[in-house]
Amino acid sequence: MILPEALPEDVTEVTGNLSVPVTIKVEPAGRWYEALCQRRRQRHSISHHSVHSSSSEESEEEVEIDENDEALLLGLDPKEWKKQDHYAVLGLSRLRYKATENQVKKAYKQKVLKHHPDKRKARGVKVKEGEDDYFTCITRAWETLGNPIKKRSFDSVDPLFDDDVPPNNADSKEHFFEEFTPAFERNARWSTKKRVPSLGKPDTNFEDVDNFYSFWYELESWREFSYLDEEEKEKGENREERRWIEKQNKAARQKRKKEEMVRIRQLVDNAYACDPRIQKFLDDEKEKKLSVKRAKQEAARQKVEEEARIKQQALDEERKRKEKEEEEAKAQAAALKKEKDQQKKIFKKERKTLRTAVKDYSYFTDVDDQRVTNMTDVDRLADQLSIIKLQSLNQELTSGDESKAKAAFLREVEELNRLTEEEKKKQMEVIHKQSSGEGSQAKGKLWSEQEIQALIKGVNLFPAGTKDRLMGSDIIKQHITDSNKGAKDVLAKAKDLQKNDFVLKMEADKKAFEKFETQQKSKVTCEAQPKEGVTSERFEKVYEQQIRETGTNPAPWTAEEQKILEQALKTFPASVGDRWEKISETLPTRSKKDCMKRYKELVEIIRAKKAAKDAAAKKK
Amino acid sequence: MPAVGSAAKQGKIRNAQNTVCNVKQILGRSSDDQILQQYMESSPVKMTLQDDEPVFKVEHKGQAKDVPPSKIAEAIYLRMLETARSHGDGDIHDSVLAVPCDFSEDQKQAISESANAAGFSVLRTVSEPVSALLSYDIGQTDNTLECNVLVFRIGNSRAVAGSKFTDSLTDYLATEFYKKYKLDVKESRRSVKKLRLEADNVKHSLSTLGNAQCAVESLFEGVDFHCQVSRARFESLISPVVQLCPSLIDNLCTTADITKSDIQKVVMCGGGTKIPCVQKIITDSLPNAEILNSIPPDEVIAIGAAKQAAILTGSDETDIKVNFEQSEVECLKKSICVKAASESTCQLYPVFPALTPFPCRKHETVTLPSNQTSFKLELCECSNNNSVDADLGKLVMQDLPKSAVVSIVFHLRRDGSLHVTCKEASSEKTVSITVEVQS
Repeated sequence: MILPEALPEDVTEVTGNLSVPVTIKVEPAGRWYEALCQRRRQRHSISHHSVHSSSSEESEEEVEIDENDEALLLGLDPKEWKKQDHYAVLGLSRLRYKATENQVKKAYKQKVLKHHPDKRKARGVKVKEGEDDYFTCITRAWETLGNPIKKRSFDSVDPLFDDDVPPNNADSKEHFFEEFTPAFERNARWSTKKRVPSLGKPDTNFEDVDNFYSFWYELESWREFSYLDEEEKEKGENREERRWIEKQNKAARQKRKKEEMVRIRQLVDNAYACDPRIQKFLDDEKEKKLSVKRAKQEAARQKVEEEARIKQQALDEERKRKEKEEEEAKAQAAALKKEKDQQKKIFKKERKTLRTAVKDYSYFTDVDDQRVTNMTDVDRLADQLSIIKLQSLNQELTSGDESKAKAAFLREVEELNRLTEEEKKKQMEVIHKQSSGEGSQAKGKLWSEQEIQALIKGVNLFPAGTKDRLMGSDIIKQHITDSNKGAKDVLAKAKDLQKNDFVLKMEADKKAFEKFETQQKSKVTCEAQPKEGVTSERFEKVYEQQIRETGTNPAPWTAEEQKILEQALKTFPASVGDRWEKISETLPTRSKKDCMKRYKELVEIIRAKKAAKDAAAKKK
Repeated sequence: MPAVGSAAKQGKIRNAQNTVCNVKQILGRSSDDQILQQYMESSPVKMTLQDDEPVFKVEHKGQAKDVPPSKIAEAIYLRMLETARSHGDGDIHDSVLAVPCDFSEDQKQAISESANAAGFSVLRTVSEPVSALLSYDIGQTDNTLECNVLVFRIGNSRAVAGSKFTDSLTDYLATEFYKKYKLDVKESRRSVKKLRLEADNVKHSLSTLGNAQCAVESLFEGVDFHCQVSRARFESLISPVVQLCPSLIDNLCTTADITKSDIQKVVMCGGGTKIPCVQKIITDSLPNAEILNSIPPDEVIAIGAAKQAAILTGSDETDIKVNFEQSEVECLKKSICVKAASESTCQLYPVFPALTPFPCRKHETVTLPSNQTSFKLELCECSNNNSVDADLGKLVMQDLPKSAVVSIVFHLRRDGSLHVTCKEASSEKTVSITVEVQS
């Protein structure tokens, strides 16, 4: 860039104005954009070509502390280097633990340039010999802070760190956030996790508060206390001593670490105790529970009330209904009475008209007997005719035509007589029907002889009072499949048989015998003379069929059968095996079961006779 | 924990109904968005709208689940976080997300929220082309450099996409299989997916090798398939798609109102740009351009985002936020120049070029010739070319010593005014003027 020579008359001046600037939208990326934003925010500007566009703040930070570091450094004692504040020695009092590795290095180099013994000698400043000079402290500080591990160690026991914990008292509760927020911010630097939740504000929601306390109760601290070791492990003379030193150091570190955790725990406990939001959350929870409970109670109470109300309502309705019904009945009765009275009046009137009319016509006859009859008929008509018929009759009677009136009168009389007769006849029919009905009911359904026999068997088998009395109806069905008798019929018949049982029993027995004889005759006839032209014959006797089908022969025992049984009983005594089988073989008309049953019956009869005899003997 | 990345891609063969792809396309889109509708129609995973939000219906460990896209993105970022932690970067996860340049604010917000939910601390979102430029430090070492840079990206779901290359190769392999065994692979969707996966591997191999072996076990009806594909064959298969590249560049130049020769640099992004014929066709179509592909193309965007994160790390969080929001910048409308006269012509020396943002400062040091005892500095406004639009001011110094060294500071203040100071070192004379801005 070449600047032309100025003429003598030239003078500095402003001749124009800049154009109105334009606004453009840029992509927020890259270092120049960041530098521009920083420039816009800062009060003063720096050169456009600066390489440290992002780190300009840090450069400014390091320029501090130059004024008073001479006094500090001269006052240092190299023997007590471990107790010094390494940050102050290097001129990083403001940054302290926030200083980066590069910043520490830079600071150390600046210190070396100014305070190295050779440099001071060149300036003519007095220098102590060897390790006694304060520059040793600078070297030690660099050794400590330049090494990340040792820096961390020193940071853990930073003398400027505020260790105190806000107490748990009323004042803390009142100024909770002012007291505890800085405390938590101070202690946040010990967290191994970089992202530390903040204490928040009074209106922070439950989740964030919960996260906060969870985090702090589970805090992992990197703070360690190796810097405070009394002796270095490497100073030990032998292996055993070194191990002993290590053990001692470890114990001391553990103890301090434990105290630290107790302190952190105390801090969080105090915060939790003093936190107004915790109390509020608890209150809210309690309130919620209470409201739920109250709602439940209210619902229950309402339910009871509702039920009572419904009950009352029902009662009220019932009462009202009753009252209404009563009223209706009353009104109806009144109306009925009124109507009745009215009708009575009309009747009275009509009857009077009738009597008068007939009387006028002198009862349509000249004969006294007829007159008397007609007089009674008039009374009967008056009593029994309906109002309509009365009215029509009266109309005809009062028409003025005597013959017509007479005819009408006689017609009515005849009608009345006919009706009376009909009614009488009906009554007679009813009476006759009732009497015949009883008879027909007694004989309602025709019972065959077989059914009657089955019924008798059932009745004998199950006498009155036994549990299975009604089984009698089944017996009929068992024996006679095409029976149409139900339980009711059976009961009715049984009762009939009870009433006139002797006659019926005798009839039944007689019929049974006749039937038996008929069967015998049929059997004989069949054996003797088979009918010609009959295609199918019965080869099976009735008793055989019965035994095959049901296992028993219900027919009564004949004298012949009895004789054979008694003979067989004698022939086959009780000692014989399968005695009853052999007995039944001798009696073809009876099954084994029948023989046993008959035998039992006979035994019972003999016992009864003996008992009767004994009783008679005792009486004598 | 769901499978993410290559593991999920492998599982897609058997588990297409439960494998979600390209979730970045639909994240943050409203329910009536056209692209979301298309995605829902073409997705093998069942999707429904619940409360006006898209939801994937998938089955995981025997249970049916409704998973919104944000949760899937979160799962992806969780896996990335695990990967980052396995490399021993401790607890710090300050990140910058690179998003497509056509992303809306809603989409940026949605993807940032997913990453934050997964455990990252998202400092900012930048466009992917900007990320690519940052990775090569274009414009970062010297802020006076002006150039046109083309960022060429072969990603997915575009006219030229890597998936289209795979499609062509899959079709070719299917016809080869048919020629050999008279069996049509496309009858089975599972076989097609299997073949497609292998075609993808072949495509990757052919970027570096001349030949690739395609071997699929039990491709269709128990028949194994072995085939060799040469790069020439592959290039002939994908040439219809690759031929689209020059036309796309032509369209872009027309839109931007520049010519192809104006493009000075080309940044290659995406794995598809590793293919030699793709690089060749772009090199041929842009004669004056310098092809930048020293960084692996599929890592370019990530590296750029990492560099942006490095710039932002250490700054205050509120500053980062405010900087992101205040992306509108006041700038000079015209250049500010100094008339530097010579014997024959009047030459203009630019101090602040047009569109220089406020505030800005420039420092010049001029040594006068030994026989010159005075100088004048004339400021003027210029538009493009060498033509003066307006005179702004003049600084004059007289009676200067020999070989005077003059320090000139041009300070463009934040209010838009220009403050110029001239100072002579030895005599400590000072002259200054302030040029105000028009109201």
